[in-house]
Amino acid sequence: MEILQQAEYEPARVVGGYTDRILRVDLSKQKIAIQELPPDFKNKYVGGRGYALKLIWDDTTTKTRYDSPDNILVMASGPLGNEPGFPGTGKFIVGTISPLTDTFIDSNVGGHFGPLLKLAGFDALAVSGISQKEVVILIDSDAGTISIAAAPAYDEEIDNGALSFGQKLLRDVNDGEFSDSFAAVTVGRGASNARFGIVNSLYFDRRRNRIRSKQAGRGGTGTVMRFKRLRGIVVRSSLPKANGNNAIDREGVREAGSHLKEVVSQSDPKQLNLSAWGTTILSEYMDKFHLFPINNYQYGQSPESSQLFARVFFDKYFSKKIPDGCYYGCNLACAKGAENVELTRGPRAGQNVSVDGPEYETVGAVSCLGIFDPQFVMEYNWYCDEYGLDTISTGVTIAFFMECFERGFLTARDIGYELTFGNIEAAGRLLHEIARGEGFGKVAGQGVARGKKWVAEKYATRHDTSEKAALAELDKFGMEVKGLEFSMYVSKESLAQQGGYGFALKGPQHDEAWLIFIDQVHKELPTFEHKANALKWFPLIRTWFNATGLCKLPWIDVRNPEAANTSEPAKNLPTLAHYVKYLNSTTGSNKRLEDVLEDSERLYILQKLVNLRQGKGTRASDQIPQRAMGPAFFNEYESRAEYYDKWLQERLGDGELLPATPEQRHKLLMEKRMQAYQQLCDIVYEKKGFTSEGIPKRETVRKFGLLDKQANQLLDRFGV
Amino acid sequence: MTDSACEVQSRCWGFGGVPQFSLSPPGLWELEGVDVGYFSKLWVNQAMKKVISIEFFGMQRAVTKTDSIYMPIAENMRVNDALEYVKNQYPKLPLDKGMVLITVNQEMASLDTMLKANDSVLFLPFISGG
Repeated sequence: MEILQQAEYEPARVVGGYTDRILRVDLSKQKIAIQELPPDFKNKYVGGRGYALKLIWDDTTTKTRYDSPDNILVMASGPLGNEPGFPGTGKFIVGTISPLTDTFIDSNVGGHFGPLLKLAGFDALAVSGISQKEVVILIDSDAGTISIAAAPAYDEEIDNGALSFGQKLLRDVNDGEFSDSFAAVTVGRGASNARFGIVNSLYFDRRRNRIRSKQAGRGGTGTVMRFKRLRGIVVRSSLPKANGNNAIDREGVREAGSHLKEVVSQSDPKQLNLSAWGTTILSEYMDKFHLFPINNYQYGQSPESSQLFARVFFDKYFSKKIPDGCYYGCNLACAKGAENVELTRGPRAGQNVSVDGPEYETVGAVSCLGIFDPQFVMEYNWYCDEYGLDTISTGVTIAFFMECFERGFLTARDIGYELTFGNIEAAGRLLHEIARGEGFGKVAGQGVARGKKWVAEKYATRHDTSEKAALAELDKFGMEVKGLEFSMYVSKESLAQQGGYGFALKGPQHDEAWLIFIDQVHKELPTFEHKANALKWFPLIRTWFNATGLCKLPWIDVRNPEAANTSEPAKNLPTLAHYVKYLNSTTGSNKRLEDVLEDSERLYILQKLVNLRQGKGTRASDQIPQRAMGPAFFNEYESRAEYYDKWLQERLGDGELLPATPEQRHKLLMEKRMQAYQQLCDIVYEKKGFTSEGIPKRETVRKFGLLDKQANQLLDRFGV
Repeated sequence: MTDSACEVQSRCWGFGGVPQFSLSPPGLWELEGVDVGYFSKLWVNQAMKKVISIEFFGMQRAVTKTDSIYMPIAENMRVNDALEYVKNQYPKLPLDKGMVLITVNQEMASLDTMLKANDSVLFLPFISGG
């Protein structure tokens, strides 16, 4: 490999979960620098998402876009990542200015990269600039070197594939052998041609004796990496992983970890059983409760859904005799995978591949296309990973264009073929076109928000109507907010989840709040006040997980039996107590859960400020499509007319009669849904310390020590 | 009638104030056109035409080896009766108190909720969305 630039360094020792160093690489100048952090930096910004936000806030401007040289791609674990004695500590975040939303996005991902980066001496890696040629970054703490090298050229097939390229690279840097002292992140060809490119996190799984992958899927982080002409990053550390954080109270860490592992091992097999089924288990529950996205979220249930339930993947594909997990010590071990899956379609048809997944979100993305073929799910999963495309945004975008075609907004001439729901050949064709940047894929690769504008223009020209009028129709079913495509849950019947999607600062991804069951099924959030409280609390605790390098699943998806004895079981507070103990034992702090939430709120407000600066921070940016609120079109209403009429009658009360015609009832129902969402906005903003326009009040910003010069000017601009 | 079906009826009719019936009376009828899974020939006495369904998901299906079962009901039967019935049929099924959410016709229910014919009962794990 041709080394273009190299720096020698002495790796910092991890103490109490931190190294207090950030590795900064400027690809324009081929400059490698180590930034020493002042002691209060970690106290204020925690790690992970917090570090990424602070770097973006300080070093980018309102004009920064995904492809600007000053955009920064940040990868950071957190103080609690990298501890095999505690479940779910392999997470790190990839944060940047998104090509889809034009504001801050982060995506959390598992694997070994985050832990190894910390062992190599860095709390975070921040890459700025744009390289003149394709490069890789090599961080070798064993050798004490950091290098920028010319990206190796293998052959076209390998070079185009994020998985193929990463596997070859990981072998090459270690004399032809795989080793768990190495991990890599890579991007593929699709990230060059679509705004929803992903970063693949590759690690060696000794038990499966192969490279496995996890994905930082949301928001186009891979597109940013690819635009910087950065093909991959390899990190190496041979330091022992046990007690890798050099915890201040090692015994405390051991106790907290063993308690949580016991909860997981005792309870998960009796509950969702993620350790056996992975997240695909969710499909059947979602389908049962009309939450499974069918045909671009038009319907939540289908008679064909059972072909996509976990048992199908379990029986036919998953390797069952090999323990899973994306990092050492996690006994939830939900990262399922399959070996020797033969591709039957696409350019690699006939090849046998290993598939990591599918996760529920990928299964949902395929049901969103009206396709119920598990083999297609496996191939879609693999191709998206290999191309480096987000399975969610790819699916939602194709589904949007399918509906445009079926509702007459587009013709076969516009697309090049008939793009209909359930059409496997057409869906597969468009996936490959997106990855290659060919044909209609050039349009689809821009995502739903930009796709809506393209369709509106075409339609208006053809039908002698205004673009604005066409866009108003497309807005009803274009499933995006702030430019990001929705994750895979139908939120029509849960007002709280509508808020969970609408208020999510990064766009409609459920990692800020997933409230559907406690709202729609448990009925634990009966009033606006209840919903607003949940919409404040859950995003804060979930933010903390993204700042500390932890996976949320052992907390949120394994209910601790002791939670039943608490006033708010859904918060699973007995399990959170183990997390707080783990935090204090690792870092030497003495925090309570309230302190943790306050730390998170600071990061939440900082992210809100970034959004405001980038034009995505006001009430207008929190508005959601009509389809996210209810049956946007009459066919959706008709599919559950009895249910909707009952819902409407309950809201009208006994004294008022339902409108006479179904059309009138549908119209009134949607009016009520839209009114409720606006009411929710009002009360949630108040709870969060925002104005009615969704802008943080000056005292809110001051309270968290964030009222710097930039924040002052920004709030002045908004008259706050 | 299969042995297992006999067993189901026997256990079902033996609790909660439900009238006792002979296991093989004349005039037995068979549920037609429905998937009753493992108990593929569930016979119910003509006097007890009222049934509810209990559906199984995920790990529950792995234990019960069926998607759903039907349970005959009589007057004044409650969700708790359905829970006891399932516990009796499938002792290995984890249905600990506080660890499952019970719904009837997809609405939250308590152990005291009254059952009526054709109700669909689910014992769900807590799902919080990853």
